[in-house]
Amino acid sequence: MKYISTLIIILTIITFCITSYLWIPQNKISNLEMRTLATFNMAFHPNTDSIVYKTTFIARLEEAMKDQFVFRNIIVKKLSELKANLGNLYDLILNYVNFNNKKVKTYQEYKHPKLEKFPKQQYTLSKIGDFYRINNTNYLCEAPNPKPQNSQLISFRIDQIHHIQQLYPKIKIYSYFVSSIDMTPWFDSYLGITTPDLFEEIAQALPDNIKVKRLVYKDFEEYKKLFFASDHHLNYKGSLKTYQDIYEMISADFALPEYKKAIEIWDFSYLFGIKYRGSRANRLQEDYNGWDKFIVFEHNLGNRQTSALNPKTLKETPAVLSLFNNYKNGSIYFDIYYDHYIHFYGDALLENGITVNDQNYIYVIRNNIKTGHNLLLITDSSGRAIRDVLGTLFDTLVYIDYRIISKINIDYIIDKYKIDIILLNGFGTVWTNDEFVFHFSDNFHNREKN
Amino acid sequence: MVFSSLSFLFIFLPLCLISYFLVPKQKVTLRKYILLFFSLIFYAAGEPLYIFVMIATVAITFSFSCKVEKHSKTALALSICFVLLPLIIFKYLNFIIDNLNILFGFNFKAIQLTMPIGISFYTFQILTYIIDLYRGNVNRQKNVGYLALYIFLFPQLIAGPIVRYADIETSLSACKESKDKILEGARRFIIGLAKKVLIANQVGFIVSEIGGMPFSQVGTSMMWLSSIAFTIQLYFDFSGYSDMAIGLGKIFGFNFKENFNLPYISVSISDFWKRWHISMSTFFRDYVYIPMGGSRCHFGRWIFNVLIVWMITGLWHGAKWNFVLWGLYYALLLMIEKFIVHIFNLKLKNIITTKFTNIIRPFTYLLTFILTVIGWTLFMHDTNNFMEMIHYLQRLFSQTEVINPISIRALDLQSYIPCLLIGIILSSPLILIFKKIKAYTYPNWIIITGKIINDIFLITVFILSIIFIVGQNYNPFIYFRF
Repeated sequence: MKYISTLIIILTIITFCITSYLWIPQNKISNLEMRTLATFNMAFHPNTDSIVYKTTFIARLEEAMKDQFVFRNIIVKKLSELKANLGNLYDLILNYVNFNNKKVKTYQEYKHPKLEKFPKQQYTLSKIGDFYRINNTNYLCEAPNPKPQNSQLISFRIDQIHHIQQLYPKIKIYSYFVSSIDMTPWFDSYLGITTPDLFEEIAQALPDNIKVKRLVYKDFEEYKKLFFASDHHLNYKGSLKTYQDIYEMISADFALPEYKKAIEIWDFSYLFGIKYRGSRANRLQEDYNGWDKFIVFEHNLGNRQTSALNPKTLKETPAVLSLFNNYKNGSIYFDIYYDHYIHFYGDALLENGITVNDQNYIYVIRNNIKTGHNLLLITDSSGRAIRDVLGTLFDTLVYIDYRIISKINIDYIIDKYKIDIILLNGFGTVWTNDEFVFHFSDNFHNREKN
Repeated sequence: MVFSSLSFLFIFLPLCLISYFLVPKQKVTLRKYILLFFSLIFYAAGEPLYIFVMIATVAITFSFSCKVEKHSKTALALSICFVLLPLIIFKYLNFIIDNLNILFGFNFKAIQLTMPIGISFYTFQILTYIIDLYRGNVNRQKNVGYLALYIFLFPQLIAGPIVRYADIETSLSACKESKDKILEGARRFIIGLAKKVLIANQVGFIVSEIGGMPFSQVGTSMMWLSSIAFTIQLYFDFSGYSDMAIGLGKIFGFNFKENFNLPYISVSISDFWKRWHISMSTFFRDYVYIPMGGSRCHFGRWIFNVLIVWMITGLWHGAKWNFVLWGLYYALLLMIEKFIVHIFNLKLKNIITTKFTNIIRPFTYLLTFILTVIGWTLFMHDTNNFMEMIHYLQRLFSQTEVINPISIRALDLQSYIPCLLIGIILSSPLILIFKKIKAYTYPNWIIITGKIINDIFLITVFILSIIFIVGQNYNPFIYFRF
């Protein structure tokens, strides 16, 4: 009896130790981390050109053991989820402490014109993994969600917009809602639910001097022209439509340069055989065999200077935004799990050769056109495809993904780049996600009080 | 190779354990030589060239030990000089050169030398042997292999504790392993590993991220966050390593003394130094402070002794002036404390009741902790520039000249804050509650259930530690640089 627990401990530890290396598949690339993995071969036959090269044998062996560890992908994925959850927990607690004691405000004194509604349609859904096929086609969508959104969070989000408007009364704020198909009422009768109109709710709560508009498509056929089948983003035609809508919205109040038409269409699927399997296809893997063509519009972007601003150090470095030139030259990553939309539009090449992305950097576009207007575009990934063409309309365009908006003081950006127009763009998650929190510098609030 | 690496946990340690325990217990010499062999491999894996420096030091110690045993002062002095020589060359030579250049206007060039890992630790270990041999406190080790084993023993080789020869003299030539000790050692090892990987490494991210920012952007709150994070990181890193060393020692039949005793629950600075890095503080007390006269001398000489000992303590940690200042900081605090205690004993002892002492105890905890954090602020910034040291301390209390201060969010540190909070709780007086609960008498079935739950918890923590080692790249060992 005395040694039973002893025996259990010993057997467990030995079993764990042995099974850790029972199967060693020697993976060379991690699709999850998008990098080369160290292998045991490399430990014994080092390649000094490899990015995973280490100088000593022990260090190489250690790297190989980490990179070839059984269940490594699951470990890395779960650790990153844990990190995100802990971060969210911190934000939740902080937001709760700062904002939860405030009453939910109602802004009934503001009356917006109603947003354009979706025409009544009825379509069916069939489950595939975490998603649904629409009308038994290869087009995927998320599950429609009849639950009311976190009103506290949305109220807080709207509070912040009000706050910015009060602090900067001369700044014109616009909001463009990108409606995904699961936000429409087209599946209500099939599922027996009532999908709430989140964007209408938000629009009515915003100050009435904030113009709002949403992306509307009349039926599934039009939807198919605007969105990818295997990805949640808009395709090249959908991005063009959002650009047109936004141009219409802002040009009604400001004298903008002429609307820029596309000068070329680049079909990279035709040119280089890319079969784009988007975010949803990547999650479903072998269960889903659909793919999309990867096509982009090219616009004449004029003579501009572009740079990437590091929100931590506040250092701006000249950068080439997007991988358009790489793609044109055929320098493309052909792995089936490579997300072309994210990298094509979201990546930038700094002047020192390092590739960065819009989850870590803020992008700045400067033109020599002297419109007298500077735009701050706060967006999710749907804004990536319209960034460059929107950038041709203003003296300066500052592009910040909402997921890193909390990493910088918003007053710093507004003051430094003399922002006079703010455009909030994106899917519903922009409004319902904890990460979208404006921060102001301490000095700013002291200035307010004085 | 470090204890918290996969190569150690899955290759070196299993091979060492299997090789060691396959040999029958009666064959003591063979077992010890196997342990010596693996210890040499352990050191050579990290320092293939400097192993010869260590071998030479062992050889010199062995050859002088005969004369030292016969109380030859010349032999003692010579052996101490030879043992200290590599430490001075590798660790202090460039410091000496820089200061000579500044003081006398020389133009000596610094020499490019990497410091052998653990040199400060094993040098002091050898010194304890030589000095205790001279004093007659230990017997001369006639087997060079056993002497080499004492110095090379891999559990404590590169980051302590500083094991005195007297503490393991008998274990060197006898097999004192037992099943209970092996299990106890394994449990201790897992706790140490968890402290290092799950707390110290995570909290270390906060320190490194804030440390990587331009100083002009680090405001007062971030400075305190960085200092407190370093305080926690250093404790869990170092005590975790000590736990692993003690655990491994137990597995192989060696009983190393405790090196940490909940230092952050100290009620005074002198209490702190009875709990922090005990093997080092007792070394300086027994081999430097007391031989110099300790406190049994006139007042002026006592101050001199305290200042010298703490300067050397600071210098032992690093060849930079901030470490010296850190040592002198504690010298000053200890002197002030001694003065306060003296006044208390003279004037207030009969006035202040135990009740009052219990009331002010939480404040003394807090004050001691704050003073310790301030000390670590000096310690964590390696610099010879006194103005820089003053700026770091100043920033704890004022943030003039701070431009665009960074925030926790800007550096993406939110996910590491829970680890910091756990670290603070586990090192605070709250941990005493667990000890009190453990001290009660329980029925047998609760004790057995408790042991099973404890072991399941340890297995879970071990697996979690492996997961973190695999999934993360950040795995520093702070005390390696000493």
